Amino acid sequence: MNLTDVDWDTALKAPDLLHHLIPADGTLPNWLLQLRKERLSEASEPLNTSKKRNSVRAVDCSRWIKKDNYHISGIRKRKPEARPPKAGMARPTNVAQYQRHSLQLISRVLNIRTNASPFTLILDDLNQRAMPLIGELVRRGLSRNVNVVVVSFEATRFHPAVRSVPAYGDETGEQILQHIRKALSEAKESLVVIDSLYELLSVKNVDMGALFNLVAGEFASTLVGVYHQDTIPDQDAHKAYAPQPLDLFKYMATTVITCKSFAHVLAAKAARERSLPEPTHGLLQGAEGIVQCLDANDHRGIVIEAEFRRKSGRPESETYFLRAARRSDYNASLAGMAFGTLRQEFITLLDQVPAYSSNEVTGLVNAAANEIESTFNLGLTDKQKQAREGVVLPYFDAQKGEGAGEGGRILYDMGEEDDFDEEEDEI
Amino acid sequence: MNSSSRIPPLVQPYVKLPRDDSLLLLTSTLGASANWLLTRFLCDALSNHTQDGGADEGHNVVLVSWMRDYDFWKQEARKGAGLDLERLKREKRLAFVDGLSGLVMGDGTGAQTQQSQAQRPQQPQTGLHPARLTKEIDPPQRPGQILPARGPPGRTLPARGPSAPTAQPARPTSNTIASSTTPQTRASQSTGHYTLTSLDLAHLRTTLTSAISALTSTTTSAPRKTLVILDTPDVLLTLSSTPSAAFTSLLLQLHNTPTVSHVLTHLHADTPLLSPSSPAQPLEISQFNLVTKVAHMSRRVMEVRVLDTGVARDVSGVVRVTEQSVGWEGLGLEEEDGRQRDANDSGKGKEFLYRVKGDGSVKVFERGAGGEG
Repeated sequence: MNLTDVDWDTALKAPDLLHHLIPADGTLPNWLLQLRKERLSEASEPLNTSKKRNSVRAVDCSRWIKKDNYHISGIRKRKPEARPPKAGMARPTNVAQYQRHSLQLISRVLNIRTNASPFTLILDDLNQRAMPLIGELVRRGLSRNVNVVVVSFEATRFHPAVRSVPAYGDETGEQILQHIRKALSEAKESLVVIDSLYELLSVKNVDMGALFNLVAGEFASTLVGVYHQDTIPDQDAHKAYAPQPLDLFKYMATTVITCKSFAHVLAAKAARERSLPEPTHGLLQGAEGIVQCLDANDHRGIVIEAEFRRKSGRPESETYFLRAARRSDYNASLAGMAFGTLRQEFITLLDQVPAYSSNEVTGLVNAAANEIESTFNLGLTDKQKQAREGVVLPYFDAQKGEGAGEGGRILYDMGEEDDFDEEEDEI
Repeated sequence: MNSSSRIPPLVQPYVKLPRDDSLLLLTSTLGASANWLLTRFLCDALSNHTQDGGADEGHNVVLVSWMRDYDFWKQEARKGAGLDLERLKREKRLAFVDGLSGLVMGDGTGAQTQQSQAQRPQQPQTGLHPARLTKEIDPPQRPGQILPARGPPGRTLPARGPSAPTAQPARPTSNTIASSTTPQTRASQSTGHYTLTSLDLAHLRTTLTSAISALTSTTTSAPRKTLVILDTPDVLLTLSSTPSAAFTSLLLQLHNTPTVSHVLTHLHADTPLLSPSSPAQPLEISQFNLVTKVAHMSRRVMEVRVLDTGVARDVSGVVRVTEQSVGWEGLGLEEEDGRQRDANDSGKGKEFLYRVKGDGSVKVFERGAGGEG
């Protein structure tokens, strides 16, 4: 029998076992003393590791940060994916396992893990722009020493660590591709962010296949593209037979992420619970002059609906909540790097967000919806309430009760205009 | 000149330009004009905030207007913000680019002959390109010359082979920079006053760059940044049926000029312009795409509209401010003190009611707070 395999913590709690082990004079056997000493010295360390194992993050930074990403030698290729062989399509058995699995999926995409998603399509609109999510992606990329290249159609000022390829000017599609190639060739692994896929396709006439081949194929890197859902595609005659840009992007993407404002998700949930049509926001609202919704771009965080397309062809989708990143979420940055590594994964499932799952917040939204919309004030002031409480209603007299025998007596005061009727039963 | 008394305190933090360089969008509707807000922006940018430690000494302003002429802005600024635009122009703090009189109004006749002269030598130049290109160049400029443009805007993109890209015309027209110097020299006669004589975006760009550089060359010690206000450029785009992408590209190129820190664009957001009819018209699509695109690029969006519940005697309209603070520069990583600030205003948009009085002063108040008290 191997003593180290025995769970001593529980075993020693049983008193009869103790009596059996320890002689009557109270002295412990030598082997037991030694074992206890060993265990006490180890006690602090194993506790920590077992705790860490629950969180989704790389344990050691040596594998996490790509050390010699900018020293190019040898061949650029994807590493074979080392995954434990699974028997068939194993489904997670319980809720905790399912949550861990879903978090793992999004975490791999967010952290730009190799092979996680070669082409991520991000759909946003004015109600929730993709920038918080993009910022998170870029930050995590930079923290891992990944070369971040931004093909910009919408911005001019960038973080110094980001390599920007301006595409808004007079450059043609060919030139843009060449700029991207030049930027990519500086590192082994890169992240290419395109802040408006629509313009790349329809204005610059870049072939998506060529771009995908360049980034994901030739340079084994990750492509992330943003598409604004509130763009109306051009309806040119010569493009009539080509697929709509959005359809094309959705077809090619390996992950499709839709951004939503947290406030709008809460409102939609409240509406669903009341079986009402979901409210519309912003431009869709149809009110004249409204471009952006008041609670657009919620500061608390961003809700993302992600659809992962696995290699097997099996799609998986889940809704997540990404709160605004804090400085304390990241370790201190090493020398020469813009951001430190991620301390702990902080994206959660939307169902796990207390504000979403509890009834308190949706109850507030419901209460707001319950208020009757009217130009009249149907509420009562305190004074009115007091006055109302002061009124003595007639039936209180009847209840004052001169005994049970009086029950059923009708009290009636004659008014001026009343005509006393003789024939009526006497009151 | 005390700016604080002219700018209503409630909108003051939103009229003040953001600390980091950014784009701003201001939209208005037919019933609710945003001119009062534009003059407040002028007022804030042109005044010197000496109390802030002297580091922030205001901005230079280039005001480009396609809907109003200079006299209008002069009066508005004097009435509403107490600014003397003439003096500011002489001090080289302000440049005004007139997009109206040279193009649409009466004295445009002289400009038009000049423009046609200027464009005649351009024809052999473009003849150097293959014949296919000259055919493409013609349509975007033809409606620019024959005003008012009555032709259907769809005509500018004729159904042709799949090789007709929309971005292509932008490149050959940059040749006109050299040839359109004739109106250019005429325009910069008086200091700080420029007149646009062509609907061409390249012409607009050269005019703006010269206006901006004329302003900044005067300041020597601490370079003062420039705010560019584009007032209703959608008029220009509609008249010349320029694709909206070409304009946003110009916007970013302007913003990329090192001395330009902020670009404020004022666009129309009326429902007829933004809600496409069932076969969507090209004009509607381009206006819709322009507004959404600029809104996506902007850090702050201010919308001025009429009261939802109808006309009221003591309320002129509603102004709504929404901000998107996460940008490419900070990448959205919140500072610890930033979180304190966010806890206060919770990042939600704000809405105020306003009333413009006859003397040009504006009262801004919360909903339900009452205009006259």
